[in-house]
Amino acid sequence: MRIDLSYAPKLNLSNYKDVNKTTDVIDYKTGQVLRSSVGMLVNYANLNEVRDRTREDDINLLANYSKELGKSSINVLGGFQYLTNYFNSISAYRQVNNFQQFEEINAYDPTGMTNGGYSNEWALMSYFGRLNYAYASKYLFEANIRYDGSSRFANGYKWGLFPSFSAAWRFSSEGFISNLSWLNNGKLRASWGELGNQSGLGSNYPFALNVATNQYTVFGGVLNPGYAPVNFALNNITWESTRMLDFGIDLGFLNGKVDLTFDWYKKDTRDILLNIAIPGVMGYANSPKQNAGSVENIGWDLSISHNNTFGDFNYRITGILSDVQNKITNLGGLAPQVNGVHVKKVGDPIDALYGYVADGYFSSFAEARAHTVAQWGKLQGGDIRYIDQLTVDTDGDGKPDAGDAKMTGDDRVVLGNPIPRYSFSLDLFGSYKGFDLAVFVQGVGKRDGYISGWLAYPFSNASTLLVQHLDRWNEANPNPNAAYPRLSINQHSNNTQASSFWQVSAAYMRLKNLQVGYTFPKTWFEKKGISGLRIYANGNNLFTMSKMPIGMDPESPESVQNSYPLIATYTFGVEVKF
Amino acid sequence: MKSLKYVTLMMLVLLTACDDAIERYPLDVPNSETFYKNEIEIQGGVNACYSFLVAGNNGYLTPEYSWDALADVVFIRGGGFAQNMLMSVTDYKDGYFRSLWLSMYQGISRCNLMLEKIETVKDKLQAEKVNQFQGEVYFLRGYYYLRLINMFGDVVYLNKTVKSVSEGKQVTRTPKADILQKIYADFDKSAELLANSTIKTSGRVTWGAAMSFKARAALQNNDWATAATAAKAVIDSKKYSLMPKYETLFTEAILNSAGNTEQILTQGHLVTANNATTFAQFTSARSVAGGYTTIVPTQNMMDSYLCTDGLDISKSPIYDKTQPYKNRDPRMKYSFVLPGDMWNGFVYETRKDKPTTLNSAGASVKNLDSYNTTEFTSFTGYLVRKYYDFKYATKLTQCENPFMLCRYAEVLLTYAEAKIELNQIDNDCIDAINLVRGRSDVNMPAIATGLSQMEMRRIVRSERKVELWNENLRYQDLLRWKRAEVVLKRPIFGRPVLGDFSLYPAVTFDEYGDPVYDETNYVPHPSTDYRILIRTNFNKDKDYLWPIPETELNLNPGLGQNTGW
Repeated sequence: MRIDLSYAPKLNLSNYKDVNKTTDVIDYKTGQVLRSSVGMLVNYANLNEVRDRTREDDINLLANYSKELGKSSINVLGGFQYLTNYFNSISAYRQVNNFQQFEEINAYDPTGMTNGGYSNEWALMSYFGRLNYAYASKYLFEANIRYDGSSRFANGYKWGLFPSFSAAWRFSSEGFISNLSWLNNGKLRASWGELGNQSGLGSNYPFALNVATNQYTVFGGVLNPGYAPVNFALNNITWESTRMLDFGIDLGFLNGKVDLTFDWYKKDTRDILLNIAIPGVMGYANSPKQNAGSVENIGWDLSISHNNTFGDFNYRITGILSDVQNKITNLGGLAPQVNGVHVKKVGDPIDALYGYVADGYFSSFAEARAHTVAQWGKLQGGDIRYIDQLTVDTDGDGKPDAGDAKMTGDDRVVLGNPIPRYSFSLDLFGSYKGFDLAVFVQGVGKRDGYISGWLAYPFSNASTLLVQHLDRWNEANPNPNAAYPRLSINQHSNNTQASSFWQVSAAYMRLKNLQVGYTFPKTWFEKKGISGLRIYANGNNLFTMSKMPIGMDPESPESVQNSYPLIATYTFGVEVKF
Repeated sequence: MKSLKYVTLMMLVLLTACDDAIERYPLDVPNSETFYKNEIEIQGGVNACYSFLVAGNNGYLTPEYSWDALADVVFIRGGGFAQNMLMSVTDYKDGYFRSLWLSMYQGISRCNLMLEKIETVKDKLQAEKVNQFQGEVYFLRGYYYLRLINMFGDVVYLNKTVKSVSEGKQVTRTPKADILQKIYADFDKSAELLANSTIKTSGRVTWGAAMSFKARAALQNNDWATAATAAKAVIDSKKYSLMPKYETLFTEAILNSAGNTEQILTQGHLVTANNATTFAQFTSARSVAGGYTTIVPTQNMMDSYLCTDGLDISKSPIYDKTQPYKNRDPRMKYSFVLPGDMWNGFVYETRKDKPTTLNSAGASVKNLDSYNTTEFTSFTGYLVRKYYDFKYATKLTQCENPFMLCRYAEVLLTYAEAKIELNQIDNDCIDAINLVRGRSDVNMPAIATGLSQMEMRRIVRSERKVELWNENLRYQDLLRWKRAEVVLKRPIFGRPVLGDFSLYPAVTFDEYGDPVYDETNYVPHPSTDYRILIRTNFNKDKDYLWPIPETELNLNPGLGQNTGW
């Protein structure tokens, strides 16, 4: 029996000071001050100071009890945690300073000064217990239970009970298998469990219907206080929960030369807290949190490793392959939530790529102008043509059978899945006498990326154009397979719509790391006080196979603006041990 | 094993204490369950009921500047919603519909909450306080419902707060005519409760506001007798009179002066109240740093101003195409900045062939308002003067000037129109119009006696258009007169880019005094510089009512959709 009690207080103080200064504009020829820093635009000299204080107290109590009874072993663990958090912030702001070398509040003009301050709190309490039972190291069983309480839910909804169970059978220890010489280890595993989550709340008091005291009104030119509840809150919201079912097998062959692990799992997250609109007649404009959504993940992981030795030659190979399929199964009745080129929609992966379906280029000015579907702006040859989806039901059978001859939000469809499928890696290591070699390869078998910004649209926001943009449609060479639409100085809104045109495959394979080394025999320098000497050459990101445009990293297949391109690094080194 | 007992005991102690230990409530605001218990809290609650008077704070289409852009008299460059409405291409998913719906129901819900709360603490308050509080709240509820039925027709009528989402999803619509009666009842109750109130602070509801809005509600719903009676009560009360000068009526000095006898309900604005406006930004000339010049009067409006002889520009002998702003109803020059006016220290002119202009010292300087300088100068060649104040030229987005929501001139014209529609064209009726026309700095000729009902109708309608320009009544007027299907089929024009009217044929006017343009003669002749800003396309089978907003319909399909949407 062992009991641990710990108390960990934490105090975090952060100070921010944001000073904006102004400077004179001087005519470089005459030295004359054209615009004085203390004249016009005086408000631009300002100072904002913020002091934040966080206090967190963490109390933990843990009791552990173990017992062996013949072939059975039992381990029981019980625990308790109480976590409280208090946050306080105050801020002060002033503007206009004619003596800008002094960066203190008092150096600024008090006219127009502002200040602010607020505090908030949260607390979490958890009870948890674990029971392990093993019989002859063959039959293994574990049960967990958690009882979590959060201050972010109203009384009556604070607590969630989350159990989990797992069992394993080490069948390789059974008599009828233990004499198989090629099988050293074999274990079947199964588990089911549930866990709570409250991270999506955004506020510390999402259940509380408060009176806002800032609903000011002006009467006779004078500020009058106004008090009203502004944001509706549902007090019956509670924990999101995730249920996970897992089956696995571990196998070891040939005296540990080959190991294999495989897992299949299904994860259901339910009661996800979403912001859902409420009827306007209730008198609130907000969309309060409700337990509504659910998401499903089904996947598997496979890992195989092998190592062996032939004389002076050692090697080890580890391969990992995994897949997951993600799907939103319930959005609480919400319409698809579109955010840029992404959508959250029932039946599709979270943040699936969403947009219009491109249908090649208009082959000529005349064809573009004769197009009967209204797209965006005045069309020319080399602009992207889109498919007008069937959205109108003309024969009344409840199924849309005609387009509406204009591109609208209804013509968008799910285009692709940005969540990687078939992720793999291969880790190789070999050594022969003093030489060693390590190779690491990783990749993704299936994933959709999307390009935008200056990488996709030449001259976007007055930017430049890239060499790949040369392969564009133009009247002299109206190539229907050109990689880019016609160039235009103003970004043509028709061609920058979220569409399948800009979707790319983000599948890739990359030689992430390669290292070659040589360790000198110890006998060479033993007497000089050196115990080891190794030289090596190392390279990162050496080689990538992918269909992404030049300059884009398939590991982050969407954001291309303001980011450094991936760099390859080469290192040569000497390791000396004394 | 002894220690195990202690642990168990400790756990039990912790378990029993647990709920309190993880209770946390906001540290800076009260909870609505326990609020509204005394006079100060109730007063603040009543004040908060005013929050949505100027609602739909969505870009520039707030009622103050300008709901009239939904009609033919104001143009907003980049005002997508107004333009789409005029072209009848908006669909029911447009967020603006729900924005207005939500604002009105927020206001209504606050009113209902306050009526309930006042009832619970009534005994602890002085009787006159209770009357004042209830009087203001009843008015505001009527006001919000009036805007709802005007736009959406039949709407959900609630006189108590909705407590749960499921309750909110089961409500149904009440016929507009029934709600109108309830609106009258709210205005009547407000008038009764405020009849003896001594509070006259600008912005607070008074007896006069309640009666004036009752008259407006009746007029907007073609209930002439009620409109005439309510307006007459305001007139006979002698509480209000016209200010002598239209020119200064919309200035902050007059709006804030105690001697202002014309304003009936005014909306105040302060930066500290978070309701300062960006009026100056949208209406400033390009010569004002940061000015957008997006909200401008239309040529259609300009042409609607009569000449000083009381005739329209197609008939008046004193109208001169080469000096089109001369000899016109002076309200034109009080409301707008016209080409040639001195404005912001420059002679104002947008013509493309005027890259320079004169400053106040008479020197030739670059013309910042010329099309030559920026294509985003006024699209119509005119600027808004009404309510514009150079005080805000350096803080364009922090305008604190108040706007009138109702003034006595409207009541007079309401009375006149109702009497004309009742065909009771007596001296009272004619006097009401002449009072407005004869304001000392307007001084338009008195109207002739013995005119037909139709002639009087034309006069009162064009008087409303001119006197109340950009006061958020024109759109509703066109809808209730069923004139939208005619007027909002005509193109909305700006001034010719070169400003030369003598190159174009004369404007004609229809039987209601609205200008008609012979487009085939205007546009290609002699160049294409006669600016068509919007080709309106009002759909009479659909656009007389707004749609029930998408989200509301999704949450409660039982609401049903308005015809055509």
